[in-house]
Amino acid sequence: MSQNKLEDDTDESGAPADTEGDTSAVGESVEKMDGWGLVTGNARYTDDVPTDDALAGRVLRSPHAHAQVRSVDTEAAEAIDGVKAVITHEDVPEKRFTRTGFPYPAPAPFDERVLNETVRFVGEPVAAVAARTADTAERAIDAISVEYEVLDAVFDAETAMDPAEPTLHPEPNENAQPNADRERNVVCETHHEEGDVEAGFEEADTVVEGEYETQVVHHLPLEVNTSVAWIDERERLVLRTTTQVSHICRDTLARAFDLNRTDVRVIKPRVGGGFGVRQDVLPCQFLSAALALETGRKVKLRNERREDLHAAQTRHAQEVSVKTGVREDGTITALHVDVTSNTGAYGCHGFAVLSNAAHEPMSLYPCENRLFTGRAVYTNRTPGGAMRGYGAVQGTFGIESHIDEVADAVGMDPVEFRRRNLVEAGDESFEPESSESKRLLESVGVGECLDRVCETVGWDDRPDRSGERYRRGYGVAVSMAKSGVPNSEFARSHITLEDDGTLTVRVGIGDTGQGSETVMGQIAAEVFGLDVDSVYVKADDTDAVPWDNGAYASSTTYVSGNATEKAARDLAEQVRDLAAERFDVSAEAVKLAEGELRLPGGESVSLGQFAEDVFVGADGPKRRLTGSGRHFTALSPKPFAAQLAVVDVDTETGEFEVVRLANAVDCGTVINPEGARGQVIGGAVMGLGQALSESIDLDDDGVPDHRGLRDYEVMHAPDLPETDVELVETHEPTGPFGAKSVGEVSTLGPAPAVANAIQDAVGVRITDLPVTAKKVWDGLAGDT
Amino acid sequence: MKEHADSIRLRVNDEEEFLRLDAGETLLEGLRDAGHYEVKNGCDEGVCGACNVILGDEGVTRSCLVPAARCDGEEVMTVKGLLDDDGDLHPLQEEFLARGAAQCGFCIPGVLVAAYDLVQRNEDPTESEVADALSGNICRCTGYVQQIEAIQAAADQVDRTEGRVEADQ
Repeated sequence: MSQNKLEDDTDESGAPADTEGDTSAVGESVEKMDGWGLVTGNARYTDDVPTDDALAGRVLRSPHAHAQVRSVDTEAAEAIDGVKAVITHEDVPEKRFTRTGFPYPAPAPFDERVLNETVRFVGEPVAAVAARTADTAERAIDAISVEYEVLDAVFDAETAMDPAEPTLHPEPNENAQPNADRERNVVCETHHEEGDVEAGFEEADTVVEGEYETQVVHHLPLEVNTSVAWIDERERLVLRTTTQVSHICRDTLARAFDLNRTDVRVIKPRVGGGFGVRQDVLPCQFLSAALALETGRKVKLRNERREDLHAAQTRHAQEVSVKTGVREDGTITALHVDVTSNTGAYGCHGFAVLSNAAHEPMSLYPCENRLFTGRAVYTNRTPGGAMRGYGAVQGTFGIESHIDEVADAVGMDPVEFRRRNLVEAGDESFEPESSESKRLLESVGVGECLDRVCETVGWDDRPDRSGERYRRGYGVAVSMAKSGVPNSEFARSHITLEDDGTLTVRVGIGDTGQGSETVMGQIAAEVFGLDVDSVYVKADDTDAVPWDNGAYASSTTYVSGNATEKAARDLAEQVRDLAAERFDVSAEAVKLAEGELRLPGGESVSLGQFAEDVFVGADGPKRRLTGSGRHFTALSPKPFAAQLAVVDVDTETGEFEVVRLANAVDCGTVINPEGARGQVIGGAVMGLGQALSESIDLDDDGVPDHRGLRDYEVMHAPDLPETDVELVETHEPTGPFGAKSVGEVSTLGPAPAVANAIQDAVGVRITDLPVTAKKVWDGLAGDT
Repeated sequence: MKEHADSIRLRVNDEEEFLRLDAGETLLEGLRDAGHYEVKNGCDEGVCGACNVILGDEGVTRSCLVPAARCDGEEVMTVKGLLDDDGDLHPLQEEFLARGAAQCGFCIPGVLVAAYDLVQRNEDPTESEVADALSGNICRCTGYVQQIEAIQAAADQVDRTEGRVEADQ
């Protein structure tokens, strides 16, 4: 893999040249700041503190996919000794909201309450109990008697749009999304055209059409969704919980329960993964809060794994239709992508996931005439949420599968066809006007990424095994993601210089394992030329850290990283001013490098010695220095990837194996090479799970068709292909030290790369995920 | 508040412990109730491996599947048993840190226990031997590759000649 050191180009980027010489933090594979706790078992997750004083919370869930709750008889449950509270929809605020973890109001209809009178999916909470012991809580759940009026249910998005099908949300909702149509269960519709797509098809020599379908998968973070809620000694509501958006969680809870923002505190300890499922305010968070408010006691609500798999938000199932006009020479003249997205029972991420689904992958092919149409549709499934890739996994599967078919239609090599049409630096992206990155993509390394994976695997020398039983196939896919939601993300960072020269960074990021606390520490350390061991990053408590949108949309390195770099530079300027005063020199002449203040004339003093000298004594306290930085931007620079899968297919059974997956990623400057590599591999392997095995299916009644984790097939270590990672460095001029994001982009390509490799090997085009041996076999049988 | 149905004596990481048990508790629950939060509950159905411990002669064991009452007099090793007497990290832990093999860390106590069991037996495991040793662990963050590399790198640093495992400097 490439581990290129950062070039000393801070002057070119317009940033002040504070540091000199070798970089000390950015560009190094420093160990995770929280690493010692992680490898020793000392890390404390939500449930890793004594909670003997907590009541046990339990949830009664709907067995029906769609039903009106006629009555809930809680008398028998409440009569059980040790039961402290039983709550139903009658006990929670009537005001509807959305759980969606964006700043208020979020691009989502306000279509749910803490507990709803109409339940819309199997597993939806109907009532919740707090009791002295877990056994008592479970007995109380069993003692609750619910009278349901069972309603017809619909699970498929296309079907749900038929006016004859049941309407899930007949009532008007506040914050309805564009072109909503309640009768047809449509949450929103989108229509984005640039150029004239019909004219583009007229210009084409060939028009190719294809339809692709993706399944529902689950994030499956290893720590289940958990919340401990209590009322503190100032009568405030406190949650210790699995979140990746602690400030949004706080605000959403405060709105839902009509509390002052200052009367809610969210503590985010170590969190065992997220991948988007904790971008929402979780049902267990609302319910534990409601039970704590009801009882005045501490309440712990920890989902069982099976509950999480049944009822936590999922990736959206989508149907993706692609139509491409192409000239004989391989030039794309028009591209139309249509997406129907199944958002399940609540609108949540319906609008934003839909928007992302086609905008990102369509941006890879900047032809003049592009049209994106689509809709998000309510069904009686578990709500779709945010999940790593955020719609673009689905869109990329459709478009990157389709691009191979277009190349084939004009008789071109799929890599050559992509090279001819790929986006380059200076091009526009295809995204909503609100993004300023739309008008200019400055750092674009996707072509280089494609070259790298082809060279690594030997695309041009791939073997021809036609006629043999075991055939080898090669497939590529390219992808694009983002670095935050333009005009939405906001981050603030405060950095204090302690009196021994160490730094405390306070920033509201949501590190759920991806290493963003470490990245913030590296950025702060870099400005001072310090070792990261001299930096502590505090990010776990809304009482202690300033607002940050949290971890989603691959925003943290870019947005919070920029805020942290600004805070560090602000602090550095204050340090230079103080040094100028103390040493009677000009501030501009004071340099900060390698943890030292360098004065004109060659003298130097360590930052620690300086801090000790200036912060002690009578004048010390008034000189304590804290730098502040904030970042809000209409930009969202794009990371890119190319991925190449190699498969071996048994033509007599359809069984196949992915034997190699090469990944090349452009994430701008690489802040932490091993950390970035881990993001690339982790995302790619999650993408392979989506490609090959993961699926949450429902039976005819809408009941998830699995008993628990044993029936949910994720990738295990022995399933891994040979995995290559190359980090193709570009320099993003607006990023912190040139960085973009890296958390999501490698999740997008594996599914189409595998499908394309299967097609290359045996001529079978799999258009619906997951790609299974049975589907390959059916394709082989159909061919003969 | 709780009524304890039973109690057992265990040696956990070389220290005598007395665990009071609720009726039907698993070893996982008993250990966590006694403050061994390093033993993680990832699924409660014996699939994810986050609750792995080394239980007496049985080797790597999913503590969520074992009734605690059955463990009276047993020796148990959790991830905390990897530290040496001075509290220094085991080579496996050092390599996991150096190679970014722990992201969220929730699976790590179980992964490291499985890895420890492997490197005790095998000083030069192949990639596929390591992968097989981890076949009962789910890691959702890393995609396993850096974990496999770290375990291979650590294996030949482990001193197996003495009772205590130490870094081979």
